[in-house]
Amino acid sequence: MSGPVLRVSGLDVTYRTKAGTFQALHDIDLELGPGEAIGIVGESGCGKSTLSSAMLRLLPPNGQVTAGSIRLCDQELLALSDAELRRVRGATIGMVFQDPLTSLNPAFRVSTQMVNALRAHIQNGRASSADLHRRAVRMLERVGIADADRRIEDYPHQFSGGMRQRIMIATVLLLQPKVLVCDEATSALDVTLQAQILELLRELCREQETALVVISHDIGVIAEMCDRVCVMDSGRVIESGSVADILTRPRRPYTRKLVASAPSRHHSRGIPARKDSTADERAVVVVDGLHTHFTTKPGIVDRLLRRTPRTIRAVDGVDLNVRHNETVGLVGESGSGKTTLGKALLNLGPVTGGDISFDGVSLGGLDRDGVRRMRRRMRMIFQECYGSLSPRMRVEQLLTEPYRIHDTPASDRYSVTELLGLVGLPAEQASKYPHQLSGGQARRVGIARALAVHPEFVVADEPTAGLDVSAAASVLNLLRDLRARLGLTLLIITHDLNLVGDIADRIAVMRNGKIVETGPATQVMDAPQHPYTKTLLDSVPDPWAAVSG
Amino acid sequence: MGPRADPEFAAKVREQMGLDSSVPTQVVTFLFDAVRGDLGQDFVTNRPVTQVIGAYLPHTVILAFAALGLAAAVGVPLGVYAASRPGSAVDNITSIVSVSFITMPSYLSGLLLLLLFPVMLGVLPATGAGEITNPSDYLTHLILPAAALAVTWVGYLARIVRSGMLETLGSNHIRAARALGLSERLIAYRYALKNAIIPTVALLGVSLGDLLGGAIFVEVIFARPGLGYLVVESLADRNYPIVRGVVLVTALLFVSANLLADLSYRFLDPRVRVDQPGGAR
Repeated sequence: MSGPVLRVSGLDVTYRTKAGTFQALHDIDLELGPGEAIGIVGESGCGKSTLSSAMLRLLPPNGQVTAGSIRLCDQELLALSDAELRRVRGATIGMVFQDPLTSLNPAFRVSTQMVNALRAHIQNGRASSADLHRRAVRMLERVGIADADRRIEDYPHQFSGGMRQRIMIATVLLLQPKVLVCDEATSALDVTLQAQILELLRELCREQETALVVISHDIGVIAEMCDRVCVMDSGRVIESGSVADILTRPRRPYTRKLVASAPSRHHSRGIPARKDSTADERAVVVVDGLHTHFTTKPGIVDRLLRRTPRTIRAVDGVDLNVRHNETVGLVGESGSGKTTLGKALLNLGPVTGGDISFDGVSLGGLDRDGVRRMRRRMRMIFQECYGSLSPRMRVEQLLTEPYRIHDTPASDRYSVTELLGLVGLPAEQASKYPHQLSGGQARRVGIARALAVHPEFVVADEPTAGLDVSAAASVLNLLRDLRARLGLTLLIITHDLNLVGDIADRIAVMRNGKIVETGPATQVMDAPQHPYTKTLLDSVPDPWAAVSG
Repeated sequence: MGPRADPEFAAKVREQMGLDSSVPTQVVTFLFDAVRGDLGQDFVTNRPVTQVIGAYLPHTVILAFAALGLAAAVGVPLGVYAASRPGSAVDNITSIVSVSFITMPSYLSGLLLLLLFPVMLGVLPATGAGEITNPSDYLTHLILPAAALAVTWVGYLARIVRSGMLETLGSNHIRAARALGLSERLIAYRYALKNAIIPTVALLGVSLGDLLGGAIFVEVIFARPGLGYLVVESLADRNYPIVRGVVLVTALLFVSANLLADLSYRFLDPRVRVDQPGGAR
């Protein structure tokens, strides 16, 4: 093996902020041989994204490398001029970003973007546009875009999230970089897509002998992709070694915590599984043959051509019971209709057919007042933890808003401090605005808001979306604890089967608007009946599979 | 006609203009006539109003579009340039200039330009529109009025393009484009501008309406024939059929300009397009 393609040594990065300077990276050392794959794992805020940005010199304007060196193929990256740097970016070191929905330019065709990327790196001689176009099409075919020579003329918004990430990967690998940095490249995708994209990356990198830097909060992803892993905490690499070593013999407590909170079917998580089933047999929520169909609105052209409007069956005949003080996990991929179902349950979304009853009362027949009274008893924790909080209100106002809406008498009100205490937030948070909160804190405020009016039934839509593993685990612990303390009935909607495996009593698996499997959590997790459930379980990157073979 | 008009003549005119019928009848008659392209008779010359407006309209439309073109040609690059160097001296100067331009009404900028070029420097004609048959003559007459009218919108466009560009330049796809090694020129003037210009286009529709209105001052100051000039003269003469006609035509122009702006979204933002062949979702 020749020398390393990438060597980071003694790297310090500092951000200048209004509050003063903040050192984000301390003395980072890293070495990567050709074709090798290294993982960088850590929680949000540990500096791993700063490191990945520094590797391409893409730090925000207030960030600065204050010491150290980054050598890329025997070239000092930090000494390059802007023009030299531009030639290195993409051609020698490429990067795939986290959010596939926003990393392609919405205003240009895929073909334009791919050809422009190629053209930016033609050093000598001219290549014909037709030739560049042909290479782009071939690469798209390679990443599994069907009908690539036609689809390449489409715009990014015409592709799904998973397809867009494939296109991004195709664009980056088209330039055949020596090093590919993947910064949470699959975190925004659901598990089955994630598995496909990881597989694709692995294959392509092997083919092109590209060295990989995989940055993730999920040690499972890293275990699948990499041989070596660096664990980062507060801007330092605190531990590094082979994946197997780190997983089986983590030396630092922080690493142990990371490993413990990684989802796995073979080992129990850091959170002890709930054994005490307090659910009684009375069904509180009964969903009977629920349908929600959306019909696309026909345009003038459709009407002229007498096209039949397309019907999307978001929820297509669902029966579901939730018993008192029970936790039910509703699992499915994005687009399976689970959120539509959750909204319909709280009368927040349209219902085409079937019936939902809560505590013996059918929701269909309620008038405005009835709906309002019902909504006090059934609450939703929304998926968008920031989006569901008004940016112009302070936490205390947000928390007491439900009381104003429902005219709650003072005797039934929690104080703001009590509510914050309920979700484990300090009382000082009351005067903050949502943008001053971290993702986990905003999520907790959302939970407190839902619980303020003493609901009996709570629907939590992706309660851990966007949180790193330890924040996610503590939110789940909180939900579990609140359920026991307040006697809640919970429906947790998620795409992550492993997440609800620990907390739910029963699991319902949803696909294409139908529930394909329901059963006690242990049964669904250990002996899935439906092939789709098996696929879901298999797609979760399992760090232990790499170790136990 | 004024207070000293001959009562007999006044009665005749009243009858001739249909002012003796009820107001709703007058409205209905006007609408039916207008749809057929008949906006009544010029009070003074007895020519059809449509003919009079037709003679003045092209000058105003040319002026408005020239001003719009000028505003876009100066304002957009100014905004892009300022956005690519946020916080720099150029950016700060651009900000000061844009805000002063925004607050400058066209009658002030028109007078200043008159003072500066024809009066002090002795270049460019001060008044009139020139002969349309002699393009270079017409163009030299167009420059100053168009510039006077454009000043406000240069400021607006520079501000709006700057903020749109700053937002776009901070987005993920621009970061991804940088990571691919694309040149900063390509990124700023193609990748970012096409996204940043979208909100600007809606504004252009409104601006065209504003330019048509603003043309009144400019046309009067530069003694340039046009709808604004016509309407001021007609108001002085109490030549109401002309005023009514000009108001109607201006309103129509305003509505069509906004419609055009909305339609141009289709070309700029592919997400708004419907019926894409080959689209999957």
